[in-house]
Amino acid sequence: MKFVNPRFLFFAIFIGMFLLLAACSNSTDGKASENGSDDYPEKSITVVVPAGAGGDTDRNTRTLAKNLEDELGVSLVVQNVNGAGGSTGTRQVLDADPDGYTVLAFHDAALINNVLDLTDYSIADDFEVAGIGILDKANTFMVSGDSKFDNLQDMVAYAKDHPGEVKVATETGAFTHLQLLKLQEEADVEFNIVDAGGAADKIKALLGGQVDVVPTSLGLVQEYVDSGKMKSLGVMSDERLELFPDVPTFKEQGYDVVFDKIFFWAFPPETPDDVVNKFSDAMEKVVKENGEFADKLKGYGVNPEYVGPGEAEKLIKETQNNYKEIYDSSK
Amino acid sequence: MNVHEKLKTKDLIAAIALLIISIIIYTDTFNMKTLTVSQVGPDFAPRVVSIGIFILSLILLFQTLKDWIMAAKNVSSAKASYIKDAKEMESNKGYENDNDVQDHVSATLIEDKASRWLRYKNVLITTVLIVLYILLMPIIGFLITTAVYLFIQFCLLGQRKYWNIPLFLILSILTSVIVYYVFRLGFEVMLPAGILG
Amino acid sequence: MLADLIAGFSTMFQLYNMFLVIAGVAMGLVFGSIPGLTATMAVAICLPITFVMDPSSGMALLMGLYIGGVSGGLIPAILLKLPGTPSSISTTFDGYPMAQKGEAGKAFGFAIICSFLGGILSIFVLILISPPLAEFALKFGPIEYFAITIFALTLISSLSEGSIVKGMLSALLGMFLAMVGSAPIDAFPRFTFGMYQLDAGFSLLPALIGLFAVGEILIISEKKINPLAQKMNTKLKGIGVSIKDFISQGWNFLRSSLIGIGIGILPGIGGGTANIIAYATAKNQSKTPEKFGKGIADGVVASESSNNAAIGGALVPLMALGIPGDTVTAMLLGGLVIHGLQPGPIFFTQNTDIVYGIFAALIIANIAMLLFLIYGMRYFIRILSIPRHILLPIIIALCAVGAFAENNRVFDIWALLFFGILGYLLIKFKFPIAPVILGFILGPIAETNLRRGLQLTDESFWPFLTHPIAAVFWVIAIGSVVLKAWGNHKKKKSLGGV
Repeated sequence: MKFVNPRFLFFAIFIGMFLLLAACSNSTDGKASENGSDDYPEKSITVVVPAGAGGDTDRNTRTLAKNLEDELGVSLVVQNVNGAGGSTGTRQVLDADPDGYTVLAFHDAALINNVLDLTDYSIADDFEVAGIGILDKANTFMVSGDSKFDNLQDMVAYAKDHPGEVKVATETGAFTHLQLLKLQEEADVEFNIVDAGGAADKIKALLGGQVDVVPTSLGLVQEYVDSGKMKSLGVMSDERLELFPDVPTFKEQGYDVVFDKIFFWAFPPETPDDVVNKFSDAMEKVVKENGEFADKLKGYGVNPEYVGPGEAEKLIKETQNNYKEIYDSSK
Repeated sequence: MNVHEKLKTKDLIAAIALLIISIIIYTDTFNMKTLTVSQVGPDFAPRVVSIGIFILSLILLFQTLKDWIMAAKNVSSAKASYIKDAKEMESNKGYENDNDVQDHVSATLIEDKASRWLRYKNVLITTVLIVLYILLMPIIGFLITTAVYLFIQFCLLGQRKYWNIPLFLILSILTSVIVYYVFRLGFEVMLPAGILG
Repeated sequence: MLADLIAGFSTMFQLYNMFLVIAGVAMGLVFGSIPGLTATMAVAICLPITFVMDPSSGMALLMGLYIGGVSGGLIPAILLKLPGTPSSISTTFDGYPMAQKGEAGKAFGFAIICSFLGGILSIFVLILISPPLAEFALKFGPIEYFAITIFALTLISSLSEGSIVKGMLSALLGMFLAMVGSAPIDAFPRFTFGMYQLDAGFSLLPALIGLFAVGEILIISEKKINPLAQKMNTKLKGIGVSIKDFISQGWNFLRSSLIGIGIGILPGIGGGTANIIAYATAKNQSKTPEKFGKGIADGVVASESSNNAAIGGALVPLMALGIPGDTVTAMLLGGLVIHGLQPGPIFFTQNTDIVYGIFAALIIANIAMLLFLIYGMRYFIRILSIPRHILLPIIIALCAVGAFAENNRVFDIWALLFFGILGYLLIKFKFPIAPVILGFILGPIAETNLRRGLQLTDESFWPFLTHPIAAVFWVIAIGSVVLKAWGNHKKKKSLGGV
């Protein structure tokens, strides 16, 4: 192209901006590791999230990942690997090289996959758990703002008189599904359990009036509560939450249903212990000491809580056994 | 073999293949595990689809056979079907390309069997090349395999006398390097690493 | 509202934000125009960068990417018959033949202007009536979705040249391929024959690019390419489109844009489906349907107006209710959430600075897209003069990157090849390809919603027919099939029965 007329200039600007942007995208790769003797980590770490972008799992992971970057000195690249209830993502990490540069960030769904025989490997037994960083205690059942149910007891009472009528949306085989099974057992009621899909789909189903009750995380729907479109029947935590002091727990209302959503990070099997521990230490630092991180989580309605590798593995195993019981007794 | 008859064989093969596929699909639906209890389970839709394929491929089969029989019988019918085919080919032009136009033209003469096999051979080679490309990528790495693939593919696709080896070499290496660096470092999209990454 | 909009613009007119929008459009166009790379990918890649920016700037960038990404697809669609993104599939049907006839300028002119206008129209809808529109969209539950998808599937008949039987077979094949993987709801694998890589099924991208791009390239590989034989009219005068031409497309444009907005609003169905439906509708409603597929401007207008209109449409439920309308908006949601913002009814009325900033960014992005494309037109055409035997392998390499980058699996590249071979076979056996993609996209939506709907109605099918909105679509579906059959019957009679 021999001409240097305005058109050419325009085109050159176009290319220039594109390349500039591409260069900008490269954020913190290559920052030297600050630790003295140890080499890990030396290059960027891939974080596999078996969930889609925009959900709470993705959000929690990215927030923690961003803060871990400062601690570890390398960039953490978050990759969404969606599909098959999360098993595509967990499988990918299972098969990855145990060099510490691939890590899984997920939650209870992985355990449930194993309980349901969707996967033949388990987190506790096969993966090297680095630890737990976030707990979501605000698991709740929501109804629409103008629903005739004001609290859990109303809803259960109605369900008792009208078995199979109360439509509750869930994602079949997921965390929320188990909550429903447990409540059905505890309260001796029968709901009409309807599959609606992921978090956003469930919200849509409730707002659109297609279902009556939706189990979700209170942090995700705060906006709707504030605008009066939804109200909560209660939270499934042990005690009332600091962040939501006005919401009674299921336990208070007479039903022993407690579910904490555990967000754990785990490495592929055979990953060397010192790598796992290094990572875990970084997690601990961020979770316990980083005020900014804690504030962000507060905004989401979840809690920063650190549980170290050994403890986490135990907790995960216990939780999975618990789920197995719930599932078996519901059959 | 004129165009008219060739069309028919293809349809015949397609119809039978689809028939078999539909049966396989249907039988596989009996192995499905379910989590929910319902009349309409995960086996429902596949069955509907496989039945649909079954019925439609039967219809296709009958259409093909009907025309074939008529063609074998008398000339005027053949001519009529030929006109219908020509009309169909006319309306099929939407997704044909240069090659098939050539095809049409040369088909009114006697089809050169040799050139037909040559065509399929070319496609086969390209396919095999791509298979090798994908196979080797995780092992040797994106950078090298892509450069090699590009070079070979340039040669394969272009006519011998238009080969420009220096250009091919430069382009294949350059493209591979640019794509790799823009994606790997720029966008931090992990491309299969290997020896050279 | 006007004051808010002006405030929004003033935020966007800051140098930094303007740069982001324009750079975003540029990058989006590049991603959109390379088959294998999509708007979704561009947004996914740039999402992390936005976390360190303040929300308005982040959104500015993402909006630029979104608009550029969707619009960019028209370039390879017209020049090479390869859709750059799923949103430009039907642009290939008529855009490419037009270019072959030497009317590339006209095709581009229509495509670019309609993309721009369709986008602007949907943005105005977004700004003016999104809250009530979003509320209306909520009423669409599984039962309604099922009706819509069935209706959309009846349009297959318009997309298959020649044999309807083959068209339907193609669609069913597409539906079957989409069923490979986890069953909806039960999540257990289907048709994976033990291969666990298939548990997640086939992704749309490798399927789409495989069928259209790789398949096409395999066909071309049959004959060695003589670069000198490619003589293309690479001259372009002006925009290529006259005002008169444009006005005659007015109704087509309006209808297609409305279809795009309507489909975009429904979460779960986006631009990829919108353009096919708009195209099929345009063909059905046209007085000269036989000209479609041979290079008629109507086809390009329908496709490109609807896909850009779907952008505004997808943003409606996101902004008004916090529910994403498609994959890109799902990521936008993530982008906002990380900043501590939760889109929804309150967000819409309270965080007006960000909301109107987004609107302003959208308008600016559309204008930038228009300018880039119009000025770039004559350079794009030069792509045609790159010898095919050099261009096509490069495209295949890029497709491989695109397929891999989505989920970081080599398996997806194999899927790409598989669909490429399938596409080749389909073309050789004279089966239409477009219905395969339509079946692939719509099949799962239909099945999932059928099952969910039945759960809601306690296994009774009757409500499926009686729900008001659903009933409307059934009537339209049945009506159009009947009309088509009757029309065919009349045509056969007049041909004297061959």
